[in-house]
Amino acid sequence: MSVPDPLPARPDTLGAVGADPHDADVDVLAAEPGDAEPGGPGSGGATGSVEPIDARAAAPGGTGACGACGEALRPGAKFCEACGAPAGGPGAPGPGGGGGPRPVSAGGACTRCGGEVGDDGYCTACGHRALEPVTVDDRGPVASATHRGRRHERNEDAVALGATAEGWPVLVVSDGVSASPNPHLASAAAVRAAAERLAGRPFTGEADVAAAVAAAQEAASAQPADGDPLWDGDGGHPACTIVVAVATDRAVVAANVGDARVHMLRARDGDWAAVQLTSDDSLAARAVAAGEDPEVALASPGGHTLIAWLGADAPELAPHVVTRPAAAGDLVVADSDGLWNYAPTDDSFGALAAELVPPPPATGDLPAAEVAERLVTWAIGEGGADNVTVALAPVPGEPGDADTTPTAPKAAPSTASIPTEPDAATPAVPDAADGPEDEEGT
Amino acid sequence: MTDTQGAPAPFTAETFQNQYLAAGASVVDAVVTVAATDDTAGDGAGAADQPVADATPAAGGRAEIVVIDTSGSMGSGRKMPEAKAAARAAVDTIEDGVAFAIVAGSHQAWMVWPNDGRTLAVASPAERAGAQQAIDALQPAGGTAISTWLDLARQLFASANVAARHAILLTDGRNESEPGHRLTAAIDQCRGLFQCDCRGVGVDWEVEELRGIATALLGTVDIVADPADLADDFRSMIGASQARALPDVKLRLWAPQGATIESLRQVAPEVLDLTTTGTPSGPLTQDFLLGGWARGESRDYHLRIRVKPGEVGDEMLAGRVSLVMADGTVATQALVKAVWTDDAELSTRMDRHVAHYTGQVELAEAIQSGLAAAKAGDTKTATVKLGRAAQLAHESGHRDTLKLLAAVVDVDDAESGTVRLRPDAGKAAEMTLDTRSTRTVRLKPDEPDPAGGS
Repeated sequence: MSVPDPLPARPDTLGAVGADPHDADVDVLAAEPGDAEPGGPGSGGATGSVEPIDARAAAPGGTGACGACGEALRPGAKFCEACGAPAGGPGAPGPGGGGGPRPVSAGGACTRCGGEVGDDGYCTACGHRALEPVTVDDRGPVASATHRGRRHERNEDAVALGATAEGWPVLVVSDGVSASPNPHLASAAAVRAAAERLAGRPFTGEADVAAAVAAAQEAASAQPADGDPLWDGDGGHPACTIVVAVATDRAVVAANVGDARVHMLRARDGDWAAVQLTSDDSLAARAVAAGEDPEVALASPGGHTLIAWLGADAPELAPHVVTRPAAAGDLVVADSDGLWNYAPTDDSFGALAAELVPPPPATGDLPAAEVAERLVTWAIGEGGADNVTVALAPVPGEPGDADTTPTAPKAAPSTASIPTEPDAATPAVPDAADGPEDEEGT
Repeated sequence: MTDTQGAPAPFTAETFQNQYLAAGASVVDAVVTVAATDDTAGDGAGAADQPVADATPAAGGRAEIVVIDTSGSMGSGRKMPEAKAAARAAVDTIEDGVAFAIVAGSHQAWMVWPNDGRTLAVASPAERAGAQQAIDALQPAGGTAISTWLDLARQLFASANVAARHAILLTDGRNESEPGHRLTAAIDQCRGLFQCDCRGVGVDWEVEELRGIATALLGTVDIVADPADLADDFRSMIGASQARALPDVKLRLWAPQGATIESLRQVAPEVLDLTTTGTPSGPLTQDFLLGGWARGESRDYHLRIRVKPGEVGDEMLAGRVSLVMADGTVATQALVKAVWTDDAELSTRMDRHVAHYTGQVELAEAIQSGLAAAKAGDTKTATVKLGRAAQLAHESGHRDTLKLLAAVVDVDDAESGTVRLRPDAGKAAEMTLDTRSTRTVRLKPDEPDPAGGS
């Protein structure tokens, strides 16, 4: 096998989607000009430059139904009888949509009623605050999508995509802790640092994802605590969660602090089944470990309270690190709790995937951006109580390759050198666990 | 002078509300404070030196008309001589260059000055002297048909191409020489064409009648129980009018599709119900005339909009208040929002501004209905209503009103609203309480806002 081609054309290209879609900082991810040539062995000579984020507005969708409330329209109706929104307006039924969830926003038109969205961000007809388009980072079969949701003033989630020297997808998601100042800065810095630690370098396994988390902790801790207009508490330090996943051609290697998750989707009876790879650092997870029903635990007051996070006042860093055998055709999803809150169990997440992800196997043809956006849009439709972020990538390889199907070992060695192909770059540093400062160019 | 140009923002507007609504709730309350910016400070001359000349609108100045009741009843007591003195004082106060006229009214209206076929005079020492001589020659005779007075004033204003038009109307009696609908029709024709302050002298006029004119024509109404006080009152009304540097301001209210504007009231400095005065200016907007504004002036508006309820988590713009200048430019905007929440702690709070003015409006209504009941001989209702008024006035720290109430009822216990009607209450005291019932007090700015939802 060789490095699989369903991966991005520029394997070490690295991008991050910050909290604010207009945040220019996210474009600064790459090595500065004049930096030492980035990339370790096998980087293919590509630079670490970052492409602009490909944020696409969803196209209006649906047919024969009111764009505002979804009620069926009478033939020839000029207005929806249920809500009074004009029928056939610019945001009203159009082509596309494909039966998926109702889009969140479409350019300058209100998706509720088709009215024009004013400069102040409210629809000039129905008055509803227009939801911004979902911010999508589209890299072919690898993609991310993120959105503020309905209830939070800003998006404090951050997401970064990248690829190791081998071309294996790197997914990083961070959720800023709203009960802290400048959580959006913490999460943006964290995903950037973690992704930089992995992108364009040979991947050796768990030590690398742990090192990425350590780099994220360092970056999050360096964020300023003052100047946050949305923070009216006293003191406090910027805080965030992190989850890092690398989809190698035979295993998913992940690390997390906090409650953002990595799910692996795998075919079962022709549809998707999900398994959560990461362990939440939350009171709810603790209760579940003690035998509580997950739904009950999460719904309980304080269930979402974090018991570990990143930031200057974080407890001693102890990321959960996991390696799970995987095979081509599997799909790796990293997501913030803004998504998984609405599908908190493996069963419900699997059911969600069965509904919104094209049937297995996941290949290089996967319309990842569309899927990611669909998942985020679904969460907003469920209530959008929190910021919502999803990153996903298929496990590299050709599905059906004889040696990659089910019977992989139950658990990979704990210090995990991921077996690599002979023609892929051999790890220069077999176990670089404590080398986050060992930056590119060395 | 070009006051309305060069001033970066002639108005500011600020919203006070608890924007959080419980699931299913549809009524949005907000108080919007609108203030005309006081930008004279930046002008070397200083505010005191340049009130009037500078305040004259660029688009062609202003016109003032004084309408004096000369019906036969004015011949009793000191009313006619004091009314003449007041009219003379008003003429004295009119600045050079301002167009003006003096109208006399009885069962018909006629020109006192100018009296040579012109519609309006332009104030100058000679014109003022001529007007004052003509005023001195007035003799009381005839009945009272106020529609004819308004008709003449309207025609005179229409003849002048001026930006700001203001009248003073003085009467001592009821509109008894014509059917009521004539007056109603005349008022409607004047709406938006000029502002009119109304004064009743003595105690034989109808508060409701004059309040109807003043409300429709965006003016004040008051009783001048002692004719000797008329001259000062006229001077201050003309002075206030000439200070209104920003003529013909409109409040434009946008509300979303399917929403209903339940009420729009000016609530400070006095209660003025504007709800029914709006005219559509777009598919989702209505314009409400506010008249002229003086620099530095501030008014509060309470608006209540019923919207289609959103889902928990939804945020909606429930209203947008824009201040529209005479030339059509939008000077400022304030947003009224609705956010649906399942957090009862948020949704059950009441904004203190909304609460305060809701109480003030109730106070005015309690006084007016209490006095009406007393007049109709319904002592029981009068006692209950005026007791409630005393309670509300006490709660809101409305001392002036409490003082006026005490002239009409004996307040045994303001806190519980226990009062007894005073058999010796004079008619002047009742009319004073009535006319001033709409005056409101503002919140002290240093009180903390428990709702915090603005």
